[in-house]
Amino acid sequence: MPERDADASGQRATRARQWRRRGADLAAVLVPTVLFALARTVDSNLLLLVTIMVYVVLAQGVNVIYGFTGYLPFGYVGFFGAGAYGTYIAVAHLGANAVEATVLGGVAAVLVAVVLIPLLRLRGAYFAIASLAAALALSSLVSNPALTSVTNGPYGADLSKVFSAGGSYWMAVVIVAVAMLAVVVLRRSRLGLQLRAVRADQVSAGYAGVNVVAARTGAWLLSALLAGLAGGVYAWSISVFYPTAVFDTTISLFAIVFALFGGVGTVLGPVVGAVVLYYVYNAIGVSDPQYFQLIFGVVIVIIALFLPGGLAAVLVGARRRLALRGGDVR
Amino acid sequence: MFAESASAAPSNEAPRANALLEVEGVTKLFGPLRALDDVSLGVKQGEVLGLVGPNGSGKTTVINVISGLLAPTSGRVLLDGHDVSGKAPFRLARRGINRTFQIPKPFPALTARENLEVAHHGGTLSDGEILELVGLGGRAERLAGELTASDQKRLDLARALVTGPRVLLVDELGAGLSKTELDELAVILRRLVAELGMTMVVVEHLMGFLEQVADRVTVLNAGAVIFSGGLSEALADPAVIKVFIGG
Ligand SMILES: Nc1ncnc2c1ncn2[C@@H]1O[C@H](COP(=O)(O)OP(=O)(O)O)[C@@H](O)[C@H]1O
Ligand SMILES: [Mg+2]
Repeated sequence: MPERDADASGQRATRARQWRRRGADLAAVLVPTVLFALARTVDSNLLLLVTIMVYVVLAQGVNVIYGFTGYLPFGYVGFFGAGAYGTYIAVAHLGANAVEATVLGGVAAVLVAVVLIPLLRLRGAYFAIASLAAALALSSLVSNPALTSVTNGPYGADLSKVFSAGGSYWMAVVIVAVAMLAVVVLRRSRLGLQLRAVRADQVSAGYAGVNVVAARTGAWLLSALLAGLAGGVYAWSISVFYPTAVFDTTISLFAIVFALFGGVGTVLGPVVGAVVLYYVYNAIGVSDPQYFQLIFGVVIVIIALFLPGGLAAVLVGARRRLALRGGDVR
Repeated sequence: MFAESASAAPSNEAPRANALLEVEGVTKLFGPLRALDDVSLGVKQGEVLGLVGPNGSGKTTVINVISGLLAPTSGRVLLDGHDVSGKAPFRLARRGINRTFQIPKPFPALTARENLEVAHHGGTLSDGEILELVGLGGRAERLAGELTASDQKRLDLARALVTGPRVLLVDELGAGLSKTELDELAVILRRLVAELGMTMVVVEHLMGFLEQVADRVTVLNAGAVIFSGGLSEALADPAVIKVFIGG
C-alpha cells in the first residue's frame, strides 16, 4: 500500500514535470512573438524592429546548426542572401505575392543547403572556411552581370512594387514564431536527442543506430530554412538592395556572436543575445571610428575564454546555486 | 551455472556452413602491422563463441571489423550468408549486429533512459525491460555521466540491446568488475541466449567468466587463429599453453 502511494505520487510528479515543460515551451514561443508584435506600439522604427527580428531568427538558425551539431557556419549569410534573392526572383519572375515570395526565399535557401550537403563531411575550421567560401561564391554568382536577366546582377534587386512596411513587419513576427517553434520542437524531438548524442560521441551514436549524416543534414536544412526566411523578409522590408548588402559576411558574424552571447543550445539565449547586442550596435555602431567592432571582438574573446555556454549558462548556473543553497537540488 | 559450460560444442574448425555470423579469411593491416592475418571463424545462431588471446593479439580488431568500425583489408564478414563487410556501424546496428566497448562511451549529459531513447529500436524488449535486465532499473533517470564505471558498462550493454541485435559482440565486459558483478553479467548474457536466441562473440581474459558463458572458444595469437574448439581442450592444447605461459 505505501508502495502504491509512492508509485502514484511518482507518476503525479512526472506528469507535473511534463506540464511544466509544455508550459515553458509554449511561453518560449509566445512571449517573444507577442513582445515583437507589441513592439511597434513602443518604437515606430519598423525597419529597426524587422532587422532585430531578422537577427533573432538568424541567431536561432545558428543555434540549430552550431548548438546541435557543433558546425560553425561562417558562411551562414549565404542562406540569407539566397533567401533575399529567392524572394526577389519569386516576385520579379514568378509573379508571387510578397508572402509567397518570402516563403519561396526560405525554399531557395534550403535548395542551396541541399547542394552544399557535402560540406558536412568537413570538420572544424575546414567546415567554417568552406562555408564562407561557398557564400562568397554564391554572392559572386548572383552579382554576375551575365545573370542580369535573373538576379539583375550587380545592379541590385528592386521589390518596391510589393513594398509594405506593415506587411513585412507582421511577416517578420510570424517568422520569429516559426523560428522559436522550430527550436522548441527540435529540442524535444528524437532528432534533437540524436544530435546531442552525436555531439557527445559519434561512434556510440552510430552503434545506437543513429544515421549521423542524416541527422546532421536535418539540422543543416532547418537552419538554412530559417536564414532563408529571414533573408526573404529582410528583402521585403528594405525593398531595394544590392548583392553586397545581403551577402555581407558581417551578417554571419553578428548572428554567430548573438547566438554565442545569449547561449547556444538554449531556446531563449539567442533571442536575448540578438536583442541586447543589436541595440548596443545600433546605439554605437554608426559612430566613427566603429567602436562596435572593437566591442564585439572583446565580447567574442570573453565568451570564448570565460563563458562557453553564453549568458544562459550564467543564469542557469546562478539558479542552480540558489537552488542548492535552498536545499532543493534539481 | 557451471552446467551450462558443460554443453561446450564440438571442436570443429571454423567457418561452418550453417553459421549465422561468419568471418572469412579477414586480414587487417595498420600500415606495416598485420593486426589480423587470415582470420576465419563462424558462430551458429544461439551459440556463444569466446575469443581469447594475449594483449594485442587482435581480439578488439576482430570486433571492430565485424561491427563495421573498421573495414577489413581483405576477406569478408557474412551475416546470415549476406556480405556485410565494411558497412557503416549504424546500418549493421539496424541489421542486427551490435557490440559493447572495452571502455564504454555513453552519452554523459543524457539520462540512462534517454541514452536508450536515442537508439534505433529493433528489438522486442522495451527500454524499461532492458534497464531492468541489465540491473539499471533503479537508475533510469540518472545522468549517464554520473553512473559508476560498472553501471556504464551495463548501460553500454543496454544501448546495444535496444537495437535488437541477433549477433552481440562483447568486448571485455568483465575487466574491472568484482566477482559478484561478473557472475551477474554472466547470468544476463546466458539469459539473452536462452530467452532471445541471441548469438554472441565474447572477448574475455577471465577464464572463469568464459567457462560460464562460452560454448566454444577461438584463440588468437599475433593476429592469427591458433585454436578453435572447446574451452577445456583449449586449456590443454600445447600451442595455447605456449602462448599463455611460455610467451
Ligand atoms: N586503429 C589502430 N591503428 C593502429 N594500430 C592498431 C589499431 N587498433 C589496433 N591496433 C594494433 O593492432 C594490434 C591488435 O590490437 P587489438 O585488436 O586492440 O588487440 P587486443 O584487443 O587483442 O588486445 C595491436 O598491436 C594494436 O596496437
Ligand atoms: Mg582489446
